[in-house]
Amino acid sequence: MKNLNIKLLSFLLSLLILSACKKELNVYPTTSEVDGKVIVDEQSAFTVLNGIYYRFADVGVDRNNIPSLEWSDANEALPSCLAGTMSNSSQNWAPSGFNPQAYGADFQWIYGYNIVNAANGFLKNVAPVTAIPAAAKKQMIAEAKFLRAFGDTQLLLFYGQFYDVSSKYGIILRDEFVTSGNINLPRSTVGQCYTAILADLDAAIPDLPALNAHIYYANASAAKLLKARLLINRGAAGDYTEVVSLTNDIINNGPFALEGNTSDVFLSKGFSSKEVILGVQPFPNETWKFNNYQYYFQYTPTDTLVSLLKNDPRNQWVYKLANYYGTPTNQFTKYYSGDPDNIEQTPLSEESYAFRLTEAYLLEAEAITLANGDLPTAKTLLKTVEGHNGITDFTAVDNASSAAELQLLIVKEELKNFVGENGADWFALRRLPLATIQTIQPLLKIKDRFLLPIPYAEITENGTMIQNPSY
Amino acid sequence: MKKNAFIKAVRSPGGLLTHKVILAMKITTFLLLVVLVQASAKSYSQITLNERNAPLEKVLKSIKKQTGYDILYDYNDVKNATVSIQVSDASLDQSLSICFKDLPISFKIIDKNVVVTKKEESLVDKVLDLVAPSVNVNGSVADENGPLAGVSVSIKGTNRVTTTDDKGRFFFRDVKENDIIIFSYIGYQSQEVIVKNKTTFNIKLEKNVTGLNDVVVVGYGNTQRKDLTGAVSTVAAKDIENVPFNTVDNALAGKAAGVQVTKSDGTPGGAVRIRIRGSSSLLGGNDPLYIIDGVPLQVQSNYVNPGYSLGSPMGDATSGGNSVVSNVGISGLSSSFINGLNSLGGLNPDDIESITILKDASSTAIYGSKAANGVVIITTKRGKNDMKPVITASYYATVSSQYNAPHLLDADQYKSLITEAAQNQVEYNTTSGNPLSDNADLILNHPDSFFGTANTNWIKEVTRTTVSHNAEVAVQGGSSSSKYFSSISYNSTPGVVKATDFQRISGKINLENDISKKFRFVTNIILGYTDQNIGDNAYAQALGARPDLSPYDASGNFLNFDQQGAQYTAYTNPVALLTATNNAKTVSLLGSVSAIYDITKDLQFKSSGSLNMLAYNQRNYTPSYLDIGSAYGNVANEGGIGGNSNRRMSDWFLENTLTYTKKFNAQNSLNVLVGQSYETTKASFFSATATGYPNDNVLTGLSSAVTPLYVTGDDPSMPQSYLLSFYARANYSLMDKYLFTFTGRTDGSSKFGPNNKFGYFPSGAVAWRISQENFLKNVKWIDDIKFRGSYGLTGNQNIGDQMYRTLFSPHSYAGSSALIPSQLGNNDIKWESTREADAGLDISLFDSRLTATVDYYNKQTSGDLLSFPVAPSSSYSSLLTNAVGIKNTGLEITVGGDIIRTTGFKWSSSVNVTFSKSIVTHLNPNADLTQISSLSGLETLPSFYGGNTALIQGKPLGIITGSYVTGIIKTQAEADAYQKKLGFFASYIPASIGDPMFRLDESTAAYGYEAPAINQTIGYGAPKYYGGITQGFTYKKFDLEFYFTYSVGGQLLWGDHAASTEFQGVANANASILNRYYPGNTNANEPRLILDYYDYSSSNLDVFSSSYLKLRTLTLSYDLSSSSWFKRAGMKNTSVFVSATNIFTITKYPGNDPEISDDPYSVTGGYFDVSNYPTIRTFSIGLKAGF
Repeated sequence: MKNLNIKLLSFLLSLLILSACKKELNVYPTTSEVDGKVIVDEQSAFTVLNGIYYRFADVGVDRNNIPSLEWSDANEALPSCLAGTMSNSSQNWAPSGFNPQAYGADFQWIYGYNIVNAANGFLKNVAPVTAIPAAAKKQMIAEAKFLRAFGDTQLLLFYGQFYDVSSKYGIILRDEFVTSGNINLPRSTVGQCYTAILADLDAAIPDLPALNAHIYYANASAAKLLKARLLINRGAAGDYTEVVSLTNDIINNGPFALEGNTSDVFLSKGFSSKEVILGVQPFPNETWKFNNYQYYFQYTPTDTLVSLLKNDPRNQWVYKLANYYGTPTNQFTKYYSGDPDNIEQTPLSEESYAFRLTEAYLLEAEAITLANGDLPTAKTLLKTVEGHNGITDFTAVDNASSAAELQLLIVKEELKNFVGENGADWFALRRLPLATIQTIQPLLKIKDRFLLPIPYAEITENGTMIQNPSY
Repeated sequence: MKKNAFIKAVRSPGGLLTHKVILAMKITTFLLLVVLVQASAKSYSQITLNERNAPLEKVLKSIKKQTGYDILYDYNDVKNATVSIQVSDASLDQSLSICFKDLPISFKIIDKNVVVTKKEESLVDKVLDLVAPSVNVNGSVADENGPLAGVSVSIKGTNRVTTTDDKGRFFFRDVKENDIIIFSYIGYQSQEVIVKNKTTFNIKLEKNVTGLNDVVVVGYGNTQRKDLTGAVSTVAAKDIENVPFNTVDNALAGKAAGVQVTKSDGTPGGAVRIRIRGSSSLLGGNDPLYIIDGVPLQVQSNYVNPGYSLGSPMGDATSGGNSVVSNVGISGLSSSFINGLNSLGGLNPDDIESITILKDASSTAIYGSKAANGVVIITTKRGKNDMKPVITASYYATVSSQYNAPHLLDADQYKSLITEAAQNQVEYNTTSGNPLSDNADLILNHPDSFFGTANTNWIKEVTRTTVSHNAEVAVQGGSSSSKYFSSISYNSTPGVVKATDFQRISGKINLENDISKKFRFVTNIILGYTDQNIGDNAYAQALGARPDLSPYDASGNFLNFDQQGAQYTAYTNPVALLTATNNAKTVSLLGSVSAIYDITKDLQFKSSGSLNMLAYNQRNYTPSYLDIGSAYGNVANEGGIGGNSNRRMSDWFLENTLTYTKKFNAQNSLNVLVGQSYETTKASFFSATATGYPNDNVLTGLSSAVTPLYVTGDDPSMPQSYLLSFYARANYSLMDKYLFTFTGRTDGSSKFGPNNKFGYFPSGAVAWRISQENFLKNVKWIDDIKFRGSYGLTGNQNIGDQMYRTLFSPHSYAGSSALIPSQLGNNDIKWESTREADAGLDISLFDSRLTATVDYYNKQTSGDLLSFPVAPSSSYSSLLTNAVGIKNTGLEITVGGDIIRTTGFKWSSSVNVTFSKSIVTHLNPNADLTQISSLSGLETLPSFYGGNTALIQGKPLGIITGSYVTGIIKTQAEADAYQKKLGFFASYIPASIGDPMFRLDESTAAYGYEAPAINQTIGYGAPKYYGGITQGFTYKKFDLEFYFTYSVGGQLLWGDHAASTEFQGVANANASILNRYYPGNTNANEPRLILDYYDYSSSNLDVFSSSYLKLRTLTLSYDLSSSSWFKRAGMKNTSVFVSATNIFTITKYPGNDPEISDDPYSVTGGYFDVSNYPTIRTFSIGLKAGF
């Protein structure tokens, strides 16, 4: 009997352990969340959504592991270096200086897909959750789609033949969260890319609020401006007209207004300025951008910028002469209000700006010129922007007689206004005829160099990927 | 019918006799008896038996073999009988009496025959037995050296027990004629005698010697050596006693073939690198699994990185100095901690009873998924039944000093050489057009302000000779139904480098109680506390500190090296470093309770619960006057930086086993074990770092700081990983010469995805004891010859948790939490598996005077986990995949024996050698290997910046890489040819007479230039063969043991040489720099000195052979037990010993010690000599006494 009891007992014990283990062998982590379980309510949905914004802000860590925005490298310095208004002290970031393995060639590639995948992760995980109030869920999905569209737009404008909808050199469109089974996808055509991005934006715009809880979270105007940015680059039939109507809508119906003097946005008001449509929020104790521009002189203004800003009041604050190891050197001071020689971090030195109202004015003006619209309207828009930058002499604008001439002036304003800011300068430059471009950026010799090379790692790991022409 | 026929067919010769024959024989016997009654064999006294529950038939056969007497019996009378007997040099009569005591059997000895007959015990007999007259017996017990005190004397089957007095005498009242008296004593073979009609017994006990019948602990059980089928090495407690090693792993070096043991450096209590048959995993660690009294323990480093390079004012000389690590890394602190902490540090080596090392798949497969790296089973001491309490106390003191202090430049040499280097720069600048560097300008133009006036021997400033103490007390004893062992020990070992030390308090309790005849309960607890000051790399800094500077400035403060132009090379004042705090305290608990129930005579059930717990606390403080390291040289540290980190780990194990042991008959015996175990692992940690402390001496606790810099932690409520296992093993022995073992284990682990949660690990082994075959059986000088073969599969699951899932990690953005997809899951990842084949031969000859074991193994690991890069468009950088294969093959030979064995003198000798080879059989060249870079941060795998180790398909593990110097330019023609190849590169590196010629990367030759190639293989770290040699001499009461270790064919990268080929900034250099090229030494193999112009990373010039033969320990002990003074004092087993470690080393290695490792956990290597801590030499004197 006794033996039997023990046998029975051990048998039962084993059974118990077996059944208990089914759950335990599937134990969940305590320091991270698992895909499929990460969103359960509004709070957790917001946290995952905030993760997309984290990617949008390009958060990394500095050398002491302090989280910091690396936005300034990929979105401020890189495009302006390509446009020729800034230079990188340790790398050749001119359009002629890139190859697939070059440092920086993958910045926007990684940046864009980080946003896209985070957005796909959110959209996948939020879909089945019913515990979120419908309105909140709708808005969050709109934000995620806006951010995905932003990521895709960056990718398309940096790596795709955005100027040719029939081109096969689009980007990889990802609408599903990455799993081990769908890592390697081929490029889509440029046309497909535009369609997908516009679909996201059209879905997002009606569901986004006019103003979000904070200026560093998406709103309808940001989405409309992104759509305008995209369409003016596609330039297909009707696109320019739509750009005009979108920007008009932002300017006239949105809650934003141009700052009295644009320098105040960067040097004194920051996100409190009514001009900021979408900001990028830095971490309270980060020093990344300040160190890049002020301490290391990592990115400095070029002679091109200096000559563009000749006789422009902005040459008093966008850069300043400073002593760099005994050599007087121009320091990029667009975000820094302190003494360029005795540097000390200033309150707004880390703030970054993804969308500003000025861009709506300039895109509208440029779209009018491209659509052969009413030049005086365009001139007014340009002068309004110039006026807010302290310019009082509008002779050049007034004298512009052709659409092309006016477009060049508008693009030059875009180059000056958005230097080291959000890439709008680089996007604008490429809308000029190649010959005109070369008068500003002589290193951009062929149209193929509008595109950055597909990074080496993508080519080696993704067998379905094809390299951009001329690389 | 059939069954009978079978039994008849397999009967032994005795059993084949028919009843008629037996009857005839009985009559003959009787007649013969009458005639030859005097020819008793009582005088025949040479039977030695040691059997527990052995079949009677087997014992009788053994007696027959030992005496040459034929024993005639009816098989039916003995077939089911078993007997336990332990006699030594007993007479035939005595031995047989014990055998048949409880059986209805009697025997007669007639001539050379023993006739066994069935005794029909009548009622009268029984009554007679009951009322049989009692007698009083007495006698004495001795060993070869004289009387033995404290020997346990008991009557078999009763509770009656006594012990011998100090003259070895004993006395028993009222003993029956049939009683068996048992004499037992630790370290001796027990002996039994039957009373019969004797009243005086003079017993001589034999010391235990290694033999075929030794019990060997294996996984979940034990077996006799002769029955082993797998490759198993054992180390006995006596082999590691009397040597003052702080930790047990350290004592294993050279003790067993196939086990490579390297002490990382001289850190007291520090980590040891152990590899059993090589490395087989990239991410899963390569340390063996330790089973300590049944509780599994996986070695790991507890170091918590506090961030901010805290406590690491600068990297160590070799990394900070830009030499071993080609790109500057900050690794000083972590490498100190990683070498300084030891998972086994809480275990007192003197508590250990035996160590078994399981090497082949057949022996390890029972541990399935944890066994791929081999298993070390450590059994600690236990109580003994029927033993009077014995208190053992021991104490030893050890003097430690630095072994082989390095030779550095003194102040004059330093000034002269660095001036030469600066002058050479001037010359170089005239050709290159470069301006004079700041340092060169100071040295040449302002020598008075640049050079100090001191002549400091920094090594002396930071080292010392120390005395350490070790004391312990243990109590051991037991009654017939319970036994106990408990001990407590204290060890205090100050380090040879100032401000480092190791302290341990360790205790152990073992209690075993027989609740009933069938039920036992065992409790075992080992508790350890260690307190270590790890130090701050002051020693490594001393290697580079300028000898012309003194530790203090004029006002008595520490001289700040930051002012000495050494900023970029990251050197700091070594003496100031001694004041920083890097302390680690560890409490470890290994505890288990087990219930053992004998369901039937053959079937035993055991259930145990055990806990492996560890609490670790780390405290770091860097005073404000020390700079903190960063990637860009020194960073001022305002207000000090300090932190507190802790780690807590608890592993629970529940285990149930059922063991069936059955000896069916002489030919067939079976042992089957089935079991199930359940394991959970939970780890929590917390770390906080802050700055802004009010002062550097008192208020250095976290609460005094102003600004928190870094806070991290996790304390889960549930375990993070689970392992559920089922296992079975069957050992079958046929005719005691064909042995079979089959083992299978299934492991279910929470670390793998739904497709591969369970892994299956089968193995099998066969052994053939050829010496038992008829053609060898009668060869007297052969004890045993056994061929073994095994094949099986083991696994590894010692990888991180949750690696198969797609995960979101918490971060923050804009002041709110944010979850980011951080890991791409792979449901397809599966167990790393290792297939191992082993062929072995065991030989024992001349009564165990010569023994040899040879094993060949082939161990192929496939499906090693490694993260492979994925397309960046996935937004992930890598995906974990089973895609790497590593093969280890080797030959292990151990030969031992007693060269001289006389009464007074014994010389025993043992040699083992292991030839081993490894090869990476499968590795995608695109694999991103940076993920397996070493814990210490010292090892870097090939990258754009160059690495110092590599894993290459088709090449062995342990590759050392760097740049390759093909020679020194000696003529202008050579210089011209070299410069031509360099093209425009010639203006970037010195390439004139006296400069090194590097192997060039020819891939750019078409573009008109060739740059020095990086990632060149410059050495192979792994030795070709290694092993140990032991020579033991026993003369009367003296015991002298020499113990050598050796290693041949390996290479080491000598970090201090790499840092001394050129000056690193203006830091001091090793005297090896004197071999430079200069007009007085144009045959030099080392380049000329040019200050500030070489970006010199390690090259083949820094790689040296690490072959050595080392007298690792020398021990002399003297047994005082029989001295009358000690006896009067009531002391037993008293001995004194002196021992020394690292006495001498025969080697060509120019550094301090060829036996060193930079990282005991490293997969790829560990073959750098980074000189974080000097090797030490110790002399100890100790006393051991039992009361």
